[in-house]
Amino acid sequence: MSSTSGTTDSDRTHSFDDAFSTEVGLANLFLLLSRGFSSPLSMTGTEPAQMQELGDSLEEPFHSAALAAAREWASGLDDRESLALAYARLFLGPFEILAPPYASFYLEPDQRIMGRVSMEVARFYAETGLHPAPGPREAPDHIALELELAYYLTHQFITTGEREYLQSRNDFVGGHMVTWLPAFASAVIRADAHDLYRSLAEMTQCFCDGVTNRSLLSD
Amino acid sequence: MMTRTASPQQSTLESAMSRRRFLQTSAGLSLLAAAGGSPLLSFFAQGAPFQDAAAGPLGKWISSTCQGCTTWCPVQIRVVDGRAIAVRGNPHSKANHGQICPRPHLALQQLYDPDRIKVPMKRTNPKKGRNEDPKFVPITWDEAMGLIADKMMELRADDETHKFVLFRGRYSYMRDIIYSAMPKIFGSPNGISHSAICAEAEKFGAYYTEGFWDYRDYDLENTHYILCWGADPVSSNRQVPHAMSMWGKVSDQATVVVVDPRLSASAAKADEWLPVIPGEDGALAVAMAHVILTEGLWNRDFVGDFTDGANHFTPGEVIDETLFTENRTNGLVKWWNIELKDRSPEWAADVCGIPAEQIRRVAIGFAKAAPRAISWLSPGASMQARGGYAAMATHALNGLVGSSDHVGGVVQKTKVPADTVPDYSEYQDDISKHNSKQPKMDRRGSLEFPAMNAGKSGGGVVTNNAADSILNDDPYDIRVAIVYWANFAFSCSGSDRWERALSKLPFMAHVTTHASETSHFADIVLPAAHHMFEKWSFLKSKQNLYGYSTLTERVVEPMWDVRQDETEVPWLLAEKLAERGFDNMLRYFKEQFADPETGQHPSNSAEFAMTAVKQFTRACWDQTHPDHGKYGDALNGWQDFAKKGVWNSHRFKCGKVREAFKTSTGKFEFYSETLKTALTAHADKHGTTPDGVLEATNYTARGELAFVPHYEPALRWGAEAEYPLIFFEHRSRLNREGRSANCPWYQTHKNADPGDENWADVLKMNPVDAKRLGLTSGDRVKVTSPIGSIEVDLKLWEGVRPGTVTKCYGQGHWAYGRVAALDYQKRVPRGGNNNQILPAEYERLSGSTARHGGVVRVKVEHA
Repeated sequence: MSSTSGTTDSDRTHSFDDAFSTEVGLANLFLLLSRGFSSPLSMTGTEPAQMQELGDSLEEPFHSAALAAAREWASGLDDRESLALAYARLFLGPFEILAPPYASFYLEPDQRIMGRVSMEVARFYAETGLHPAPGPREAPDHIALELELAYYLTHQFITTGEREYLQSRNDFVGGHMVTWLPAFASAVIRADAHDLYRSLAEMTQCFCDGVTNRSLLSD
Repeated sequence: MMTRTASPQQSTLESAMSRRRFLQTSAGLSLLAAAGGSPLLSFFAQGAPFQDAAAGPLGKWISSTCQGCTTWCPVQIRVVDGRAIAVRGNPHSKANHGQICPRPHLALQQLYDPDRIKVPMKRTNPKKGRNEDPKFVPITWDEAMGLIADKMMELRADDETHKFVLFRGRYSYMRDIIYSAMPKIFGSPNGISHSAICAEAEKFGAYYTEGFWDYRDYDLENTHYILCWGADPVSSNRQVPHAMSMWGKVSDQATVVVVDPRLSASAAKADEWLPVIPGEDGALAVAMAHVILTEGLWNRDFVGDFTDGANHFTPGEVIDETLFTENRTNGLVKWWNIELKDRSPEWAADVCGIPAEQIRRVAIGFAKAAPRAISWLSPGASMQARGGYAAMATHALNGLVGSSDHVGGVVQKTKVPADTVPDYSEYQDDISKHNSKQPKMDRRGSLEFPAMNAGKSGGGVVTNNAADSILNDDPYDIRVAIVYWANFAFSCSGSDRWERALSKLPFMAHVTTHASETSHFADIVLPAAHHMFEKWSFLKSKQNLYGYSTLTERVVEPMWDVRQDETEVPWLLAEKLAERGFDNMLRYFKEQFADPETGQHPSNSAEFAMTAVKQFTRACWDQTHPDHGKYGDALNGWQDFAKKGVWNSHRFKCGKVREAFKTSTGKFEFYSETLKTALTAHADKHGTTPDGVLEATNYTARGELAFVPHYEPALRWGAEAEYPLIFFEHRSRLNREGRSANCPWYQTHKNADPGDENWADVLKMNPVDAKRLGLTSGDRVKVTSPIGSIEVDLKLWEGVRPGTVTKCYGQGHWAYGRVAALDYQKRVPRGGNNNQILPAEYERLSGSTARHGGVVRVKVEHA
């Protein structure tokens, strides 16, 4: 996994109209979930506070899940080996991956990656104007990549106001991500490997429910 | 897929309210972004295509090599948008006609298997055992290599560098970097190869008859008779694509006979099937030789004749050696007198279970078709506890009928020029030089393990005994091991010993594409590049009378954080050793390797990998190399080689080898002076006689019998009264050397192997036996041998000889991914691993593991 750049208060230079506040919340949610489902080796230590801040802004059930995630993230970073162990069991292996973090696993008949699903996602990235950062190659449909894309598109909408980004985000999230994230989140919860991942999975479930049933994504 | 799901009927108000239920307050919430407001991206960069667009929308074919079996076929891979999507034979290859078998297709599912090892991992539970949770956590390459280097430096500090061992499984010809140079510069003699669990006993047959320690090639195009000894050429063993593409022609022009207790794919298409009793192939072979001689059908041109022109080979009668003048052979009459005169088909029928009439018919047919005839020896007829002499006997038939080194017969090989690792002796310090000369840990060359590779005592390897060496600290305690491309905890018979041995090892690192049973006992697991798609290396092989050098290439950007096992890993380790004060290895890599085109020395692991493969293959493509164009293709530079992927030799020409075989006598030896010399030297080394050696190695022969191909009774574990059925295993046409089981295609097409079932690992039993035991197809059965038991499903099948049961090798993984294992948490495999019921028995003269020949008896009962 790639490393994550840290952020400071001074980085947060943007202020937005209320009309964009929900999108800001969504952007931050996407980014923090992406970081949460990335390798613990790449975590900077700023994530719990960021999650806490996000949680303070959210309605239930996101509020509780986010605050729980912030707490568990902080304690997880205090015991990185346990966090790494849980991460490995859930998403990495070896031997058995309890919650495979690839869309392909849930959508492809042979549960192999780099098939039709992976390549459709890859094409979506390319159309968006993104390419892989230098470093080890991950499958395009890894959850952390997909969430980072959702963050990116939302970020671009917020900072440019161009609705094409919003349309792309909604297409990608609403048309693709929610088709597999519920199954993924259920697998994470079922595995019961670490409270951080449970809370992140619960947030993911809430989000998918919001998209599917509550029009969480705006037009 | 990318269609919107939000209902267009939802009102703006509802939408707004729903969205408000997401956000409680915007106070204090600001967008997470990098300085300057740009997005915080870890996985992406902006402004360029996601994938390598160079391939274009239709992609392109890129050359590489399949190592799914030991044929090592030149292949090409279609890459579209940076993704490997299809495989075909390399059209530039003269050896396989641009054809492939099913195996390389399966490799696509290995490459894109989500169960692959993705990053280095570290064990956090110091307790080792099958039922211990290793508790692996991800770490960086830097940390991983540092941990290994720390352990190795402890050995140097203690002057015990010989207690390091490098275990090698499958390999490319980059092997000598990690297998030879690395241990020797560090100071260990212990490069331990898998070779002895593969097919070394096969080489024993050809070497001690015609001085050729290697696998043979076969002139299928011109043959008139093929006699397969356990070989299943259209399915497994070597040269499968060549055999597949030629078998139609072969069937038209030749008689095909298959000796195998199982109705193999080749047997199903053969003219005759001889379901021999496992392990009794030698009886059949010597009986055929007996028939050929008594019928006067030996090849006069190759073998010679009686001086009076009459045939004096009368059953049971000793012949005066002076009556026969040999041409290109040695000791025919001795062979007759010592062994063959009493080996009639009637005698053999009782021993091997094949009717005398059929033995006679096949022997006569084979000899009459000769010299365009092939006696095709395989591991099935040689990797037996007393298989060395069966290998000699079956191969000696080629000498008897003059098909050795003859058109339509069995031939050796052409030269494939290649360089290997540069001399490293100057980089060995006193510790290295001294400890590299310590005895090897597998006890090769000991009285009971002669392992006579090419006649040299201790010249071979005794792979499977390494587990006992670790368990018994004999000859010393092993402290640090690196294992690559191997899974001995699964692939060696008596696999429980390996589980105990690996549990005992203080420190072990496993370099592998997939976590396996061996990884389960590792301290560090390192993700390896897949040979066919992600690795630069080369291999030498042969098919269709062509030798070839074939590249494996990095045809796609590797998945995950992998490294190339035989080049990058030793480089990274050398860097860490240098940081800790031992820089000899890194200096060697930096100073002795240079790009032949630029003269540049490598400065990092990736450069080292490329530099080394170019350096080793220079003779194929560099016009300044003295061997360029001398033995085959004269490729026009590195790019030409990389594009074509294969260098072809000139076609092998029959007739030169037979002029001077590389035996002690220069002849094809029926009485093997070569073996006599080797056995005597080994005996002298241990203060005994050849008879003493034979006794120590479980052979029954004594005296002169030791030096001729002869019958040895099968050695079996288990008393017939308790274990009434002979168990033997076979190979699958889908096995990528036992690494296919986590591929769904393997499971969904498993019935491509005769008698097998999809998504199952059935024990095949003849209905006659099943009726007697009250069993039927679909029963869950427990298969028990004297050393262990497995549980599998039963399949009644007429294609297995009554009194025997058989099961394919390759399944029974309890730790190889979610398809291969039914439940890793509970260590429940899919199917059963044959190596849990096969004992660690050996063909000791070659050091081989005796995995065939019905080495064990079993009982089968309802589970």
